[in-house]
Amino acid sequence: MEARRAFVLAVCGALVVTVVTPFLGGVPLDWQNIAARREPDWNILTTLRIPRALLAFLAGAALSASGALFQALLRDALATPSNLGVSAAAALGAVAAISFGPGEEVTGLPVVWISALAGTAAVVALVAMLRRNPRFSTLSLLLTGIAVNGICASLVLLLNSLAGIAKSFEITHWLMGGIEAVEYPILAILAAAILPCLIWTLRMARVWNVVSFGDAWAAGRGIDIHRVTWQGFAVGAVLTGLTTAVTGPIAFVGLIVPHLVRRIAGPDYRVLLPVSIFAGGAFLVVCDTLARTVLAPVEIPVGVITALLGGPFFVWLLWSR
Amino acid sequence: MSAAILSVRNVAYRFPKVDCDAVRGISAEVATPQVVAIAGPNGAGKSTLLDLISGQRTPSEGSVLYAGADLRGMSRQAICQYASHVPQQTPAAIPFSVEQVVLTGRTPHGRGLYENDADRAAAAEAMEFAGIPQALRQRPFQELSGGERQRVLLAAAICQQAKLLLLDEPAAHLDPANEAFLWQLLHRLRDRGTTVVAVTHHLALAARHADRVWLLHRGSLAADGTPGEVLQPGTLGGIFAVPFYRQSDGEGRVFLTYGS
Repeated sequence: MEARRAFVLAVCGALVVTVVTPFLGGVPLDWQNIAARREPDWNILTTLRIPRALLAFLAGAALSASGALFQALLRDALATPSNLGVSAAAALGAVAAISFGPGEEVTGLPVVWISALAGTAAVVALVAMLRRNPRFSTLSLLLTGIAVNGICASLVLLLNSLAGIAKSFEITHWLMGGIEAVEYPILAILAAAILPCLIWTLRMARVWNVVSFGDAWAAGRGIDIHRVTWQGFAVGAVLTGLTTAVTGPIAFVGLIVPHLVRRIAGPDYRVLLPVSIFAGGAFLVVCDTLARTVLAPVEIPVGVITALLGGPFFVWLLWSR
Repeated sequence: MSAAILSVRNVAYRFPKVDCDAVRGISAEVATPQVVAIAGPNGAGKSTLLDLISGQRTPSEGSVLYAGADLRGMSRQAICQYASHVPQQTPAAIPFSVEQVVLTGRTPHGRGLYENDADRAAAAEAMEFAGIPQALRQRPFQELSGGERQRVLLAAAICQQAKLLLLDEPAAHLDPANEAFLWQLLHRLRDRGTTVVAVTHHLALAARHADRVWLLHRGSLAADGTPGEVLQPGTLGGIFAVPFYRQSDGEGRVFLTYGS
C-alpha cells in the first residue's frame, strides 16, 4: 500500500475509534442526556470513558513505537519492548510496591506507578553504566535484557509467593495489564512525557533504517552506533516504562502492530513509525473497548484481550507469508 | 605534493584483556587509486587492520590518515564521506527493498529525514554501475541470492561516493561468475578514481586481480608490493606452511596453486 494512503488510513482509523468507542459500553449512554450534560451519562462519558480511551491511545502508540524501535536496534522483526528487560523491571517495581508499599499515593501519584518507573530507571542506569565499556554492543544490550528479564521475573514470582492472598490477587491483577480511567492532569503529564519521545523517534527514522542492517553497516554509513543504540534504548525504555507503570504489562501491541504495518506499508521507518503510532493507539482503544464490553459488567484485563487477539493473529500472519 | 589517499603509520591494535597485539607496527601508503588486497592466514589481523583503516577501531598506537588528516580528529560522518566500508556479514531481518538498501549509502551526505533528488540520482547511477537490473530494485533485499546481495551492498557503498572503498572478504560465498563480475567492478571503480582495499584469504584471486598486495603474518606486514613481488612461493610457503606453485602468462599475470 502507498505510504501516504497507509498514514491517512491509520490517522482516520485512530480518530474514528477514539471518538466513537467512548459511546460504547456496558451502560448505554443517552444522547439527549449527553447533549444536555446531564448526569450520570455526561459524567460516565467525560470522566470515565474519554480519559480511558485517551490513555489506551497513548499507551498503544507508545508501545508500538518502542516495539518498532527495538526491532531496528536488535535487527529482529520479532523483538518487543519486553526483550530488553524494561517491562520486567517496571513490573518488579510495581509488584514490590504492592507487596511493601507504604500507602496508596505519594505526591498525588500512585506508589505503584512511581515504583514501576523506578524499576525502569534502574535498568536504564544499568545500561548507562555498561555502555562505558568499549565492548558494549547491541548483542550485550540484548543479553543484558535477557538477564534482567530472568532476574525480575524470578523476583516477581518470589514476591507473589510471599504476599498474602489479598496482595497476591492484586499482584496477579496488575500483571494482567489494564486500562483504567485516569484524571486529565495525569493524562497531560503522561502525554507531555511520551510525545517528545515519539517526536525524537520519528525524527531519527532514517537512522533506524540504516541501523536495521547491523552495527558494522551503520558505522560504515557514518552513524555513531554506540551513541545511537544507547539513545534509542533510553527513549524506548521511557516509552515502555511509562506505559507499563500506568497500565501494567500489555503484551503483543509492540510486536504485532509494527509487524502488521510493515507488511502493509513497507519497512521504511519514516512510514512505519507514524503509521504504527496511530495504528497502535487505535488497536489498544479497540481492545480496551472489547475488554469492558464483551462480558459487561465484568471487565476483562486488556492484556488478556491483546494476547487473545494478537496471538492467533500473529500465528496466522507468520504462516500466511 | 598532495597527501596520500591513505596512510597507515606504524599502527598497532590490542583487543581489551588480551596480552598481545592483533596487529603491530604496520605502515603502508596508497598514493594513487589502485586495488589493494590485504592477504594472509586466518588470524593474521586482516579484518582488524581493515577496521582500523575504516575508523571502526582506534589504533592503540600509530595513526591512520585520509588525505593527510588523522582519523582521530574526524567525525564518523566525515570518515564515511571519504571511506565506504562493506562488512563481511550484513543482517537482513527486516524486508527493505534493494533501492532502500542502496539509499542507505547516502546517509553520510545528509541527515535530513528524506533523501533529496541528488541522493536518488546517485543511487540510480550506483545501481546501474553495479549492474542491478530494474526488475530487482523493488524486491526485498532478504530474498536475494548471495551474489545479488553482495552486488546490492556494493551499489550502496558506491552510492556513498567515497574515495576509498573498504571491503571485508567481498568474494566470500560467491560463485565464479559473480566473483569475476565483482573484480571487474572493482577495476572499473579504480579506473574512475576510487581506491579499493579488500581483505581476502583467496591468494589466487589477489594474484590475478589486485594491483598491490599487503601480506600480513602474525599481525605484522610481511610484504607490500605488486602481486608479482609479494606472492613468491618461498614467502608464502613460509607463512602458510604449505608449498605454493606459481606460473605467469605472457601478459605478466600471476597464477598460484598450493598443496602437496
